[in-house]
Amino acid sequence: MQNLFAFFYRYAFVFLFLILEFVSIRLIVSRNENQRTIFLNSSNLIVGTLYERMDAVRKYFGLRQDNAALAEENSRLKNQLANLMNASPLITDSITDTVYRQRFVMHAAQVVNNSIERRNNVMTINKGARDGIDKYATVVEPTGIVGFVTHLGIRYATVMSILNSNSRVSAMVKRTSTRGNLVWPGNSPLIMNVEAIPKHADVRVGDTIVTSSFSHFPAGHPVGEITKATIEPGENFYLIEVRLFNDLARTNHVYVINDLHKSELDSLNQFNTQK
Amino acid sequence: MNSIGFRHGLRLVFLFFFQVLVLKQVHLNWGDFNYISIILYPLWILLLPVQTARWILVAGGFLAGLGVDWFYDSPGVHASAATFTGFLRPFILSYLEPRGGYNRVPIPSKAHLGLNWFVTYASIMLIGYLFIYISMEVFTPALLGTILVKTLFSFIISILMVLLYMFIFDPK
Repeated sequence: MQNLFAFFYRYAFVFLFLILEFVSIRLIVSRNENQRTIFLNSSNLIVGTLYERMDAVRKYFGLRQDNAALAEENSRLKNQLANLMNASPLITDSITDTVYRQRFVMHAAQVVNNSIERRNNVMTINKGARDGIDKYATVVEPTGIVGFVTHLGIRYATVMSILNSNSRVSAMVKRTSTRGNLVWPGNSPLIMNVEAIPKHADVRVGDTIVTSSFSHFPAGHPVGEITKATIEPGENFYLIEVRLFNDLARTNHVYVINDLHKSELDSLNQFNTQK
Repeated sequence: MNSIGFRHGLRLVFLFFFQVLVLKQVHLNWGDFNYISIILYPLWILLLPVQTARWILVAGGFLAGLGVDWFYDSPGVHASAATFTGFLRPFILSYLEPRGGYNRVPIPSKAHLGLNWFVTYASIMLIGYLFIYISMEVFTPALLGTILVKTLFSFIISILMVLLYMFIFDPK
């Protein structure tokens, strides 16, 4: 008996090692299943506030590019506004036009913490439940898409970047409206793949990829440009490489988009999957 | 004894916050080249006293890793690598044991055992850490090539950071 205790005492660190490794791997796997780990993320106040403080310093180095990008977006929006102002004033009838009823609500936010070099990249933004952000809201910037909200803190939210092995976005070729799935193969932060476009579809190098209406993003938001489209022998689907329009390493000002139709769409989908 | 504990605690706090607030924000990527994570905080495990009980190395590694995971949004990834590093340390120390043992050596650092010895020790430990960390992060054996490339480039930058730290805070 004493020998047994001596044995356990001597090798206690091995057992401890195995137990702790098991706990770690359990954490990794449970996160991959469905973000059930509500602790251990950066949307909480302590981590979020620390990151925001640090980010205030970092931001100074990118002010010039940020200003240029925002001014460019402003001018584009003003052009659209000018077009609307010049509409013919002859039609004065009033109709309730439900075609243009608002579906998306945008909130401006800033990225306070970001990564791109890992396989599963995550960001923190400085808007949270208090600012009216929904769980699973989408995040875009004017030149491209950024990710989904996964954890909602009071003042911060964690965003799963599209540079993440769990991210899957329905996207389409703008010219032909052929749909596929946008996924990240894991190396370059500028290159993504579009999967599941059948080989009979018309896809050319240089085509623009935009979000499709199947995704939770507003349909038609720009994503990137096709740089490679090949069909491996024996495959039924294209192998498509897309170069993103936006560089996620420099993402700073983003828009968080709440989908007002989300609960209705979700309840319909739930109904479908239950049957 | 108390002041030694205080020094190791202080080093942990410094390395921890340097890792999550500064090194995490540094993105060393040029266009499509995107293989570098700078990891410095396991140096805390490396520099614990030689006589530290093995279970403290394992448990301490786990807790430090879990804390870093909290900031990195990667539950379990750093924890598993740091636990492994703590587990590995006694074996590497006994493998690299100098003639005459560690009798007069309080901590396995550059100042006590020389630059060559320390570089060997830190390299083995860091490669161990980075390999487990990046494997757990990628989590598919199919991408072994990517894992090895990331480990190599991350190691080159990280070991430079470790040596820089040692030359600043632990000069001869």
